Amino acid sequence: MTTTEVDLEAQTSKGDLLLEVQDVAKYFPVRNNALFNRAQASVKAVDGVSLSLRVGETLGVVGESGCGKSTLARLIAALHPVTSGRIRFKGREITTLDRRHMRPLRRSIQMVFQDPYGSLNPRRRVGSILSDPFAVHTQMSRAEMREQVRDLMSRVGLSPEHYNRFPAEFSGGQRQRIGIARALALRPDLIICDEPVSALDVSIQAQIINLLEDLQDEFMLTYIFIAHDLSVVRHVSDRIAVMYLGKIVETGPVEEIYSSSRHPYTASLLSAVPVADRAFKNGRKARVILSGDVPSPQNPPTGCRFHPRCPKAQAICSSAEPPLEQKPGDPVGHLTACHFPVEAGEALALASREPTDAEDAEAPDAAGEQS
Amino acid sequence: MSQGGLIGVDVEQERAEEKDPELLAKGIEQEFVGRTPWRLAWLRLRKDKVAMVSLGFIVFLVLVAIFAPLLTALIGHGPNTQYTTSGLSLSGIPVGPGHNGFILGTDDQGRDVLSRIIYGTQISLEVGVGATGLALVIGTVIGLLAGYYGGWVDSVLGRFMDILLSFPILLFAIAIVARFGPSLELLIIVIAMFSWPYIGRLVRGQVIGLREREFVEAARALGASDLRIMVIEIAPNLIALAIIYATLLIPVNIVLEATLSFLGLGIQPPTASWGNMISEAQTGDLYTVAWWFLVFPCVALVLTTLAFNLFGDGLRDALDPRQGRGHLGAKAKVKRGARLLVGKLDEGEAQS
Amino acid sequence: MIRVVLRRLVYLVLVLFVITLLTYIVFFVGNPNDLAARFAGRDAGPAEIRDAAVRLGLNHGFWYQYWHYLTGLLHGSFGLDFQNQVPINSEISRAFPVTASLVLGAVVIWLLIGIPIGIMSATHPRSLRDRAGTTFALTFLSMPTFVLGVLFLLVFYYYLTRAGLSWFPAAGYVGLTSSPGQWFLHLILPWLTLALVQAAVYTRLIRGSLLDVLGEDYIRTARAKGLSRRTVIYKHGVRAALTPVVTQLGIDIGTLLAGAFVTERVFGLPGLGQLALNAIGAADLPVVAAIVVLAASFIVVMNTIVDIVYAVLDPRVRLA
Ligand SMILES: Nc1ncnc2c1ncn2[C@@H]1O[C@H](COP(=O)(O)OP(=O)(O)OP(=O)(O)O)[C@@H](O)[C@H]1O
Ligand code: SF4
Ligand SMILES: [Mg+2]
Repeated sequence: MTTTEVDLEAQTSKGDLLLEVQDVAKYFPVRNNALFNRAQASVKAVDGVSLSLRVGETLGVVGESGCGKSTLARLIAALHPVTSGRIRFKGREITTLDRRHMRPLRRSIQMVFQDPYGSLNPRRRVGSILSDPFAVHTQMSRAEMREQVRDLMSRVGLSPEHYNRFPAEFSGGQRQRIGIARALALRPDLIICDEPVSALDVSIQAQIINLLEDLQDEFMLTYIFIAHDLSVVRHVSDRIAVMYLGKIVETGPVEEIYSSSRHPYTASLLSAVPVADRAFKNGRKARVILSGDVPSPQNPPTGCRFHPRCPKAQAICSSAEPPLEQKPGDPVGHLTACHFPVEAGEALALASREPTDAEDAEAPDAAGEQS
Repeated sequence: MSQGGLIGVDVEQERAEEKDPELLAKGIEQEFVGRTPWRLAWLRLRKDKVAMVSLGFIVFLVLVAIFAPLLTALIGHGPNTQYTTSGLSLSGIPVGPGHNGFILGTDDQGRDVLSRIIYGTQISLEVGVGATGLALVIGTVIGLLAGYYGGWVDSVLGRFMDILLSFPILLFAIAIVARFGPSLELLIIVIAMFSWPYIGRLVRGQVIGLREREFVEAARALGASDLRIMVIEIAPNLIALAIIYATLLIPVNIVLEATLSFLGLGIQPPTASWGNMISEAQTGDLYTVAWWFLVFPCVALVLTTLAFNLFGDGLRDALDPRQGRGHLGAKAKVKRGARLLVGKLDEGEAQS
Repeated sequence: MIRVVLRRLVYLVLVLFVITLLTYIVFFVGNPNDLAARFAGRDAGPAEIRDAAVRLGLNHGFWYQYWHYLTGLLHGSFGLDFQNQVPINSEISRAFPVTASLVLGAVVIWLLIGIPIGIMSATHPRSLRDRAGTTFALTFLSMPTFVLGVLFLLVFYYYLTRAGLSWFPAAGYVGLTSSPGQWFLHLILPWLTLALVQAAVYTRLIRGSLLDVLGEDYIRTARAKGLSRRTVIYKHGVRAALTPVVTQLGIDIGTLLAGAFVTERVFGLPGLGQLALNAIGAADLPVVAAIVVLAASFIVVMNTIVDIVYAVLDPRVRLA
């Protein structure tokens, strides 16, 4: 995995190295009911992820629900201890820090949460919620805090007069603005946005994303931007990492991923991207069929974890795990973990072994359309 | 929409309606009706006639307790004065209601029943509210710690509460009071000692749900300390639950006080408490011809518990609309623990 | 199964240990000489008090006393009481049948009242019948047991007797073996007193849990499959709804068997509750401890039985 890191570094040049994640894993122990059976099973939510990030950059992380995106975010934000691996922030190892030493670092890494309803305490007024960062990290007086909060509110497009309202009195989009204001309060270096718009109406999504972009320019922010589909991240990201069952299966510059994705999983995700970005065929969206459900991360498939659903899978896929590496012909920084990467113009949907939905299977040729 | 319950862990109902995105796009803040969760609850509660009448009665009781000296002065009869001439007939039979200025009659010693009931109100509320308040504080702190930290802290505290709950409570309360001699303070402490685990368990359950909420995670991401999270993030979300169950625990504790007093282990005569009034009445035979000095304290006690129960029920519906289904309705969605507690509270350990 | 019972036994031992210890501490805090003085008789001089202390074993100090008590328990003996130096076992075996008669009779009555009303309320939610059931529950829920008992005595004993209708006897107890008829008559009012309050609790419990169950998917499925409403309610619904009832019943029976203090006091029944009250009043420590032990044992044993009944009622529950 070290090669990965080197490659990534080589690729990014926007600013100084801000974050390095090295082979990080998080296993959640699962309690099985049998009292005396202590054989511990575990959910391998994140299983050997490496990535790095430079100042001012935005990394998009995509993957289906349950693939470990949020867990990865929490590991980076030090909300969970890692099971193994290392995380360095500004060159400093943070996985081994105790609570007290972690505290100042929390100023620099902040999160925007997925659920604008769940992430704001329904029993507290917005002004009070937004003064939290100052109350925890500074010695400001109440009046100063109030001033700061009002300033923050207007920066994210909220009316400072609504200082005394409860979260329930705001719309979803406004609530997400509050969440962003809270993350922004201490002027962090890195903000991890965990699906910040997926709970919002499409029309409001764009506003929130624009807001995030404006703030990035204004405050030199670095983002990790998580989403479960590719269309959202395309707009904001410089680079993209595609996750599947706790692992990164493909990563590279955003246009690389969109124009010439190599991993069958990425290709199928791309084919699921709706309308605007996609080519139409006979007035209908072209789709690759992913047969079956996401396997349980408690008991991931052997070899390539994607093999039970992969249209291109062959014998070796179930036994040998493909390394995340640069494939021939790809530019530096475009890495794929697949034994049989998708070739340009390849008709992937036809390779689908078990189309579950005959109707959709009629529309072939998804990934190929891209190139 | 906006039918925000104050208790529910799920947020579905708290969502404000997403309004006209066009306005937002133009940077115009939409106006939402100023509906805080508490306001909504109050609006719901106000529509509940039974609950409002009960609340009225409770307020009345509180006023009676506060102005007891004034009221008895107005009546003109002290609670402990024996009116042997005006209050008892020549053959020693108590005077009936409405006679000689004794509105509710006199008891076997010629004391004014109404004045004694008024002072009994004071005792009942003092013990009921005092013990419940104490139980609430202990139960909330322990439940918060157990629920928030989980792990061995939870195991130890949880087991402790279980053991306390499987105690023969009344027996133990009796033993302690008997050993240390009855006093108002001891009564409050003993009753609180045995009622806090109900609150503790409920709070624990609630906290386990809250602990996983994103806003707690957000606080942690900010670097807030455990104490700060418990006090500032979690505790405000427990207030509604605490209010409901405190309201339901008060009548249980009032009955417990009355029962202990009835058994001679609570408030000691001549200080009047409803329990010892009933007990004193029942020791002689006079009450069989002069029912009033037995029956009126009973009525006071029953009306009071009834009022608190009804109000608590209405409050539960108002604060947590998803759980209740009308009055005394099936708590269809009440979590098991809560239901057990309700059973427990209703049953009133003291009542065996 | 065996494992459950074993685990419960361990738990029982733990609970017994803790609560006997607490009982002893409560009584010994302060000066054990107080205890000795109480039992030395009136006007006892220091010598007599010392004699009493020796006689009662109080001279040995706290831990010795406690240990002595525990070893006695292991041999199935509660020892002698302080007051009269009679074996506590025999006092208990005299009082227990009284309490058992009271409690078991009351259980039958409260189930017979509570379950039908609860089912009726749940199957016709918000109807007039439901309201009536609710009113019943509410009335008796707010009625402390001793109030109910005292009023019963007033109305059904005094007033009826004075009106020439001596249907109910005065307070007191007659053994089942000496006269079944009298036994029954003497217990009617105590049974009703105890049962009505409990019936109210059970009405609510059953209504709630049945409504719960009837709203569940598998019941809807059963209805959709064309099973009649009756079959669904009684064969599937009630059966499942009984689970919380069983839990509560276990707790209630366990608690009450150790003494239904209030009811026994009101009706002058010489059961365990009266025994305990008297012993507490007289600071008769070994008797109090004995009843505490009994109470805790009943509760734990009933809980164990509940667990087993659970497994029978609900095949999904497996005894681990
Ligand atoms: N605290 C936890 N304890 C146990 N398992 C967990 C925990 N958090 C997450 N998991 C499991 O880890 C896996 C990854 O979860 P994660 O929340 O990271 O997914 P995600 O990619 O963010 O999904 P989504 O798009 O739904 O948010 C899931 O199987 C989840 O059940
Ligand atoms: S390694 Fe095999 S199974 Fe995995 S994605 Fe590539 S082709 Fe599919
Ligand atoms: Mg997530």
